[in-house]
Amino acid sequence: MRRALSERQAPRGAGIGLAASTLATLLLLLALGTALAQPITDPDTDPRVREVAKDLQCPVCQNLSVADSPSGLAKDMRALIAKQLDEGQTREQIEQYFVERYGEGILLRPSHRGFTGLVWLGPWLALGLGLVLVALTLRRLAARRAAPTIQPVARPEADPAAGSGETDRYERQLEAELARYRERVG
Amino acid sequence: MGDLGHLSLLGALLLAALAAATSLLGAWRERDDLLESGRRALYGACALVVVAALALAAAFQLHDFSIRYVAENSSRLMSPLDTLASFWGGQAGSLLFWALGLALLSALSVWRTQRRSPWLVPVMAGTLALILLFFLGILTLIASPFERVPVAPPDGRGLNPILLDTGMRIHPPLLLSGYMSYSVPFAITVAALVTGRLGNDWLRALRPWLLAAWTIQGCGLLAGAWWAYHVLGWGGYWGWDPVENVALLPWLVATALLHSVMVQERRGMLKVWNVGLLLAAFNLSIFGTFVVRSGVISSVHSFAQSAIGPYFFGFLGATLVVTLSLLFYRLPDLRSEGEFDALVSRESSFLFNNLLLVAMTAATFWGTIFPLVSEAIQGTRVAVGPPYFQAVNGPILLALLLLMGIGPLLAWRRSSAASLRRNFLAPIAVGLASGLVLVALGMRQLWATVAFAAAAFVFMTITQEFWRGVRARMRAGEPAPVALVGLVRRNRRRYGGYVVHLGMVFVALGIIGSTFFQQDHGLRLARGESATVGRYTLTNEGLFQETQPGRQEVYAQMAVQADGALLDVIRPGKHTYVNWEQQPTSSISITTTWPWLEDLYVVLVSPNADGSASLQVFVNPLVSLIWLGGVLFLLGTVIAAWPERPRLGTPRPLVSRPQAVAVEA
Repeated sequence: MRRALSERQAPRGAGIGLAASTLATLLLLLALGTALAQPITDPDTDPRVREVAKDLQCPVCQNLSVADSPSGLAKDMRALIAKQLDEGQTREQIEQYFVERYGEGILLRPSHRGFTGLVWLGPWLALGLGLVLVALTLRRLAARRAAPTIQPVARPEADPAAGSGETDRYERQLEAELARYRERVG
Repeated sequence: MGDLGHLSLLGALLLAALAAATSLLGAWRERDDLLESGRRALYGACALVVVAALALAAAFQLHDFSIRYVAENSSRLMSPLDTLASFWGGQAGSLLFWALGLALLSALSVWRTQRRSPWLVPVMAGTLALILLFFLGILTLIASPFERVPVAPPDGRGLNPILLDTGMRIHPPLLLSGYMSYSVPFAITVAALVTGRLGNDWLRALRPWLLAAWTIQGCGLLAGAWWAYHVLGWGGYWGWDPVENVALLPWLVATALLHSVMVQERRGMLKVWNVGLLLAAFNLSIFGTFVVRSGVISSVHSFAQSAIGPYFFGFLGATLVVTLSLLFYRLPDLRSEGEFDALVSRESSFLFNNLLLVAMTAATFWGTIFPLVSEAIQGTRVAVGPPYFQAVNGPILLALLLLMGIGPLLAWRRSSAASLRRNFLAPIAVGLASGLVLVALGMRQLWATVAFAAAAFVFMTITQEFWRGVRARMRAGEPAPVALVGLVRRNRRRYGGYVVHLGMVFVALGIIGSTFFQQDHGLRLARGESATVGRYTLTNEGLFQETQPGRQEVYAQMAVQADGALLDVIRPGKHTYVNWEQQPTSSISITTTWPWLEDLYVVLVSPNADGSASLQVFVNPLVSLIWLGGVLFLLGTVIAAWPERPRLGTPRPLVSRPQAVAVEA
């Protein structure tokens, strides 16, 4: 079970989409279970019809789904969806039916396949790119902080002879002051 | 009136051209006389645009139908208030409103900046004059609101009926003003880029104008949501319509910017990023105006279509090229001064805030233009609807909500484990507890429960901050209310910000409630028949008809009972306007009930000949919290933006010293 799950999630980024579609399928099966139990009497109000209709664009409206549109065509489409559901067709089959007649543009939830899949890829790309940018910024700025603390260690090694007593004394004093300062601040 | 308006616009065009030329030339040659005349020309252009706008408003009130725009957007039957709103009912008037706002704001901002940061003014005035010039050019040459018709009709066509509403008087002017007001921070940034003074001087000059633009646009978006909810009748307030999306884009970018400028203010970091965000916000606001007013993407707002598209596109392209060149030229001056100390710090939380907001902007932008991309490449226009935007933006919004609770409690530089424990123990406990309570009460939707718990967590973090501040002052002997006022007054930006966050928590609650728990039912009720929806029982008491001047009203009188007791008598109706018979509008009945703040939202779909009523009934929980959140949002920004009284004897430092002048954020 565990193995099967991890295999299904293999393509990175598609994980949530997959989980969502699995969930949707489960819900649909549940809905279908009840659909088999009782036929749809009122296509305009039945939640099973709405579930399918709200992801279809009303072809004669602007930005209204088949579920929300008051137009006559949308009403006919809802009745058709109800009939198909009663015949036991799945949501995918019904969507396919409408895509064949009205084209890809009828799906308000764009398909994950083919060229249209790009619309789903965009947000992941933006998020991924942003994460890389944030990581790079954090690293670059953190590296600049690290630099000055390395310097004083490197200097005496580069020129050991120059370690005169005076410079050493000043350096020790500086270190001590810094330590005291840090204590007070921290 | 038409001639006066047209001549004023022409005069304003000439003065704007003069202002742009003299300001920029004066800045280049460092000639004060030229700069002075540039400013005066800008004030003059502003005055003439005001005259033109007054002329159009007067033409509307006097019903001068010899002007095409007046004839097409108003009629004698409309009330004076509706006639006033006709000003922005079409394209040319909207653009004139844009220009009016821009002219007034340009004059005001130049006048104020002249007194506070005069080195910015030359280029700033020049930039604003150029933007104004572009809009005046469109208004005089391509889409004039003062164009005449050969023969004046006896009466006008009237305004599109869905626009005849209180919302129409508020939402479009606010949104147009919001778009327009990004011009000032943009002009200030261009001036800072040209002069090379990009330190705290720039931020101090920029901040009030950026905050103003962000507030105005935020209110415009909320007013738009309110209007859609009360007028359009599909039970929701946000439809992910292309025009709504493009209005959201600059606001999201500005939200990111308002947070990331604090990092620059405090630590001198992210300068290039901030300049980039500001340029993006301005370009997106021009893009938004262009989309609203060109009909390039079909939407419910495309009652305003025309051929101004190519000009806007050219303007957008030119702006992008010029500003990006300036940015690259100044890159060496924009090096970071500070450095990151730890991953768990305020700075890094702002980075993630920016990441999420910009990702949401990118996703929304991509989904909105994808139909165009697909049409250009594939030849078929696909639809990208609400399911896409909800699936993509929902998780981002949840993450933003959580971050809103975490970020403000992290310390600058680094947070110690002890402070994390002290700050987060109570909020996490409250969040978890409320999640468990919801599950115990029977909530079974995973994401809704998680989102509510997250909102409770954020609410607790904000309450805790207020409580700690008030308690500290009460120990000094102040009574609680005085302590609260004193706390907020001492630290306006910080506590104003918290109030805005609190508003956002309420907005989030409303969105979660109505997204996950909306019920909707279609009903057909014969006279005297009852039906039950949720805990409400509706009874059709009959259909009634009324004739008003210019319109017919049909309404169904319905008695609403909740749990057996009479709650309300409602009258959802349909209005049919003269000249617009094909487009009846709904008069929606919305009743808010206790204790779950449910809106019983009833739309009369059609009154039937047999006396029955076809209704669509929605039960929308918590939507009123969105409007409450909007009020808090406005209150918070006013608190944060309220000018602080300058303290006597402490002149503001003139040099850029990020640590010293940083104001508590």
